Amino acid sequence: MDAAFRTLLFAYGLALSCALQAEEVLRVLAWPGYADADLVAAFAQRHRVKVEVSLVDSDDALWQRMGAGQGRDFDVFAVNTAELQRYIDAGIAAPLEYARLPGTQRQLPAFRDPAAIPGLSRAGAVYGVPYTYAAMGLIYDRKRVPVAPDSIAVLWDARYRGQVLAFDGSSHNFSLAALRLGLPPFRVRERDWSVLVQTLVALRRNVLGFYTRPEEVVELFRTNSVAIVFANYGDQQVAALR
Amino acid sequence: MKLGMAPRLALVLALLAVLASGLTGYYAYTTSRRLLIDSAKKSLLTATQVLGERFVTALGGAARDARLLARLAESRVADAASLAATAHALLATHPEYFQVRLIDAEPHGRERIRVDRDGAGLTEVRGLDLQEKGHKFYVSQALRLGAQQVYLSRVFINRELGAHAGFERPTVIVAAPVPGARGENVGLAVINVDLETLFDAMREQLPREYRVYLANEWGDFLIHPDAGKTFGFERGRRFLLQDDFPGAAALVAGELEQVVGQAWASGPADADRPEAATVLAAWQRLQPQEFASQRFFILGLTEPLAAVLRDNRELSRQIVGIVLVFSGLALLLAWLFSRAMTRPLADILGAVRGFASGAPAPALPLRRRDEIGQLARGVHDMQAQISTQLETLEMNRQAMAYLAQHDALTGLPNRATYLDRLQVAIAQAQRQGHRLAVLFVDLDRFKEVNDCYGHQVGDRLLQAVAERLRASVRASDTAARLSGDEFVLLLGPVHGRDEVLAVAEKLLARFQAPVVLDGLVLPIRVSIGISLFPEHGHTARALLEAADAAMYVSKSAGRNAWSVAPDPT
Repeated sequence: MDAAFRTLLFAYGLALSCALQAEEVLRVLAWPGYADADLVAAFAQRHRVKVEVSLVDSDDALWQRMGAGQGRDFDVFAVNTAELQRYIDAGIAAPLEYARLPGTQRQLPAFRDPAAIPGLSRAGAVYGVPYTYAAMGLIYDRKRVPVAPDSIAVLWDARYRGQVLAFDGSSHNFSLAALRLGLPPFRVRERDWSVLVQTLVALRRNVLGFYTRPEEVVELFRTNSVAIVFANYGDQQVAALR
Repeated sequence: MKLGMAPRLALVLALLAVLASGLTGYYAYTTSRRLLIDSAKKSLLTATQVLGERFVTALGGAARDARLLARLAESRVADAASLAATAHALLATHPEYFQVRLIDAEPHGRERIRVDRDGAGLTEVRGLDLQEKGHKFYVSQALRLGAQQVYLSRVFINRELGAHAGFERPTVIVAAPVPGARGENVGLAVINVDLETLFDAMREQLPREYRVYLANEWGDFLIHPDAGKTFGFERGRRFLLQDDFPGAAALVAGELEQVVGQAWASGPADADRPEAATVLAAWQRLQPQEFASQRFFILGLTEPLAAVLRDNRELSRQIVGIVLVFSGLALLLAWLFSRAMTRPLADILGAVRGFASGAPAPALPLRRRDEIGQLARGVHDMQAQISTQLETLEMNRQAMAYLAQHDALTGLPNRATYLDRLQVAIAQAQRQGHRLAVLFVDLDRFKEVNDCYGHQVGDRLLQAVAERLRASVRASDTAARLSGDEFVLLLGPVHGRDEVLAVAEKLLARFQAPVVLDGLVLPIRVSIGISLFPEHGHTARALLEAADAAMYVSKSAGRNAWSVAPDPT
């Protein structure tokens, strides 16, 4: 399922079609953990470019930042496959010439054929390169939640009221609410809006709060009684908590 | 060009003096610069502490206000209207508050009282516009606190829906719990503080050159002169205090409470103009005490080094002026001193030169007690010694000359002197038309005296003869001894032969008396030959020969007679 397995891509923006020249600035918009300082420094040295990394911590922020300049403010951005299509719709993402990216052939076999990855192409043109993937799941405190939850519905469980941490991002939460109701997660039908909003209000009333960064969860775990976390950052967050 | 001692001494002294005053000026400048910087650092640190104190006090005030509102709500005496009035009053008296609320824990953290600043006025939000805030961390965290504790949020950009004047402002939330009857919190009083307004008010009281910075506990800039560097984390790019001012890293790490130092305000790009880009920076860690969290802030002030050193520039101009004046004075003094030093030396030199040339010389500075006095006395002694030696030499020379010109036995001029005088007299006589006479005088039978009485008596006889000859002539005439018993007289100027003959007669007459030596009576006669100038020759030799020949005529004629050389035919 695409929502559970988020495949992140570096979709190449409009400006990248021309080759980078020395000391040009590569403007990257990415999520925390995707363009860390050491990686960026090595890249900048190898290709003799300056790299400006801006970070976003929600799809909403990403959409807002990319949309503000119609994509012209950034050269490369990290987006998940579930989101990429609306950037293609808006003309913000630009198609790639895959043949000119030999590095793609050194990727894992599952990622070598872009056509096989849902959401990556449109009308035969490829709009991104698979970059990483991660599980999004539930982190729970075994002391407070004796039985492993088997559904995201546990986020709404009144027993854990005030002990749930959800992620602060509207599209993710709408998808979550849709999944909770068994509705299609990425396309909200007109008639479903009302019930989704009510479901989200219920979620809001059940949570301790909405976090944006993985380190916030660590802090809240330490200082508050947190039972269940919607792990938007997946394994990264589990590792941080350990 | 070779310089004399005085200019050289003056030059060296002047150079030393200029160097000394220049160095003094330089050290005065650097010291004053250091003192200025030190005092500016102190002022900056003090200002930072005062500002920090005000910031902490303002937050503490907000904490007390929130507690006040919470207690009012807890007491249940106050109704909604008076709670709202309190909220209004708080907002009216604190321009930095932009929202005061009372939130109930149930249902779902719903706002009960909410007064917002909206433009210049205040708006009370009512009814359906009141929102549920239970999912906000400030609600959940404040509800967990004890009765006396107050919650302090991170500083963030406020994007809460319907925040009115507070929207998009850098905000910190202060929240105090409202305890319920059963010991658990039933609500909270919340005050949103606008940091920008707070700092604008504080900034007004700072010197114009000061720049204010505020960072959170991770070093993210919250307030920065370049607004683009604030709240970077909200836009995905962090701008950290410790990156721009590495010296402040220890504060972020919690190792130090305050730091003051120099830093580059705008990064290494201005490294080639360090003075222009350098600022003094003071940083102070602030930990508001009224709050449950360990949250801290880092407050900083910077001042451009150029502004600090502006006073120093005036000072440096003055120092340059003073150095110039003192250098001029030093030059003058050096010149005077070198003159004072070298003038006695010049006097001594003049004295030595004058001594050598015989010219009148300046007096020696003999009375000075210093080395110059010693030198003068030495020169003086040397001069005296030289003078004595020169006098001795002169005396010796005169003695030698006398010996060379006179006959040792009789003291009469010798042959050479006589010839010399005769030549001079001839030349003079020729020029003036005078006449001269040469009288050759030979002792008769002198050999017999010598043989009979010995040479000693002969010599004494010769002396006596010489004495008689000398006494027989005028002062202008010359009597000389040629050799042995031969004497010669030079008479001149003479006016006629008769005058000469009279002298010859007188001579003969004078020699008629015997010479008495120690009782020994020695008869002595002379034979005289006379020659006359110009009749008998024009040279000394010719005149002498003519006189000699005439003398032999006298001898042949029987001695004790005179003869005149025959006139040339």
